[in-house]
Amino acid sequence: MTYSQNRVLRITTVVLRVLVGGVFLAAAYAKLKDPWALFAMSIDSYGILPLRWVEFAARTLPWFEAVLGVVLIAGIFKRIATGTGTLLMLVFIGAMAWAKLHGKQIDCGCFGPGEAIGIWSILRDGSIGAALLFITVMSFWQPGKKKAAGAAVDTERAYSV
Amino acid sequence: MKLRAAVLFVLAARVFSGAENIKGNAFGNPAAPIMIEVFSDFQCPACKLLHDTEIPRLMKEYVIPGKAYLIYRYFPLDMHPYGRKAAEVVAAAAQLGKYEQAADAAFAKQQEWGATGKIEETVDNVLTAGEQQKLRALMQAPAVQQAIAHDVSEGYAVPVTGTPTLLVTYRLKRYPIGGREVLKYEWVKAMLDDLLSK
Repeated sequence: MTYSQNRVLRITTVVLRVLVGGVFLAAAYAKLKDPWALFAMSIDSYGILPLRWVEFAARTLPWFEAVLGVVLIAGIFKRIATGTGTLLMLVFIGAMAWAKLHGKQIDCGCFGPGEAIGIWSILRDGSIGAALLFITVMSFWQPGKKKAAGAAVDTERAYSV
Repeated sequence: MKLRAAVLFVLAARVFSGAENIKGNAFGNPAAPIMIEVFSDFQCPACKLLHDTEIPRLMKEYVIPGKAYLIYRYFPLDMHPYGRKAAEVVAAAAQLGKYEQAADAAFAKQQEWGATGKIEETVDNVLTAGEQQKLRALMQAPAVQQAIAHDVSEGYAVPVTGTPTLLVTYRLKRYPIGGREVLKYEWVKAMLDDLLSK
């Protein structure tokens, strides 16, 4: 992979990370501005979690999304943040697909109440999940860094000779 | 500042615009901190469930103690062949001061008149002979038709995505709940308590 290709990949990764972080912050704000019980109703409509877990999820998930958004934008704990985000999106997409397959005509709850589960919401969350998966892979792989580090060692050796 | 005042005025006007159309279908203190509007269809089974189980609890815990003002809104759905007729009958009964009795009777015998369309006969059971005569005349009266038209257009403006929907208004902020979501009393109560604690 050439230097310019590595550069494009790195810039793409940073842009995607900041964008996805922004999406998480927006989703958190949309839920936190309203009473938590509104989000609880959306979660409960899926019929997946027992009542006490619904309340726990409704109270904590928006804050978790907010922290994840900040961490993604700040670019700290990249591997943990992107990995966790990818898993979270998989859970969201799985829940929406499950509801859709069971013929439930309910709100997605992604950005507060009012948005029904549909192809658009699944595709949107799928895109965010794909972007997060890409950033996660990039945070582990980082071919440019390895090559650059290797090149630096080679140069050092050449000069030392 | 002027802009803010104008926005507040418009919002307030919007929130209270249905006041002149309310006759018998409102309960509690209009000055209560929370207003709950119930968009309901008399032929909708989920609305019957709400009317029979959740509304009495809301009345006991929030409306009677003066914490909430509850308004029933007529929102007949096209998918229910007799929903509109039922709304007309109950709204006409409301003009005679018998909203509660008529609504209770309509929900109680929903399955029966839902099959035959004989909603007038169902509501007749809670009216006197004189009131029964007046009910037939009132069903097409402008006041009844306007009340239903007003509530339906209010519902579309929310927007109401299904019945029953509760529109909770607190400090001019409106929270539509229900429609596509499962309406459980636990969550409605949690929400109302959360709002009242602010």
